[in-house]
Amino acid sequence: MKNKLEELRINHGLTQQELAERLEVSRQTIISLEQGRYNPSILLAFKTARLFGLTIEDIFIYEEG
Amino acid sequence: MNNQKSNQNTELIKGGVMLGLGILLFITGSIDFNAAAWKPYLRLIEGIGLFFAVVGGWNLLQYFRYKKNPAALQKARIESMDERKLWIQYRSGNNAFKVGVSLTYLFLLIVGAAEKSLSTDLIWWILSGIVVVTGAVYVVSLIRYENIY
Repeated sequence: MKNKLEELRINHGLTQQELAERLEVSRQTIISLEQGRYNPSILLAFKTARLFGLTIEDIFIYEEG
Repeated sequence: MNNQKSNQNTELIKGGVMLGLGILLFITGSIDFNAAAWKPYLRLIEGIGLFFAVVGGWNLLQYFRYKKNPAALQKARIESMDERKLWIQYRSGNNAFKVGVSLTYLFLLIVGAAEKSLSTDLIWWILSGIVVVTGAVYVVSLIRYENIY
């Protein structure tokens, strides 16, 4: 699953560590999310979307197949 | 803040109870009751006591560390609840469980078929091997998934 997390984080002037602290996850999780290696739980997806004032679909792009 | 305090208290209670119980068991196991038949069981109690005391001592150390540095507690809480890490642990645990159960079942079949021809020593070594292999599968899976996800 692709996402715009890195772009949003940079636009909001946040470091990976700061974003991790706000979302209450480890920095490694942020790295994996940004690289598209790890798909977040629905809870983390909601928390991320709320943090940036967007919807889940605005951040995470689901591609079938 | 309340959550942090309750986490700290949990460490204190857990550590204190385990350390106390561990010392009590260790002392009980060390007493010479003058009964040869009890000796292996007393050694077992002593060993369990030592294990509890070490775990309890570790929990107490954590408590004092967190009390001194609340930021470390918050970091440890986040680390322990991190969903990616938990997911990797669940998957690794699942792999280790499958291997452990399969090997144990296979070994039970072998022991059943061999009837009494296997020595107690050999059975002990094979069971130890199963424990080690299960642990190794868990660790290897953790490393593998850490690299993948």
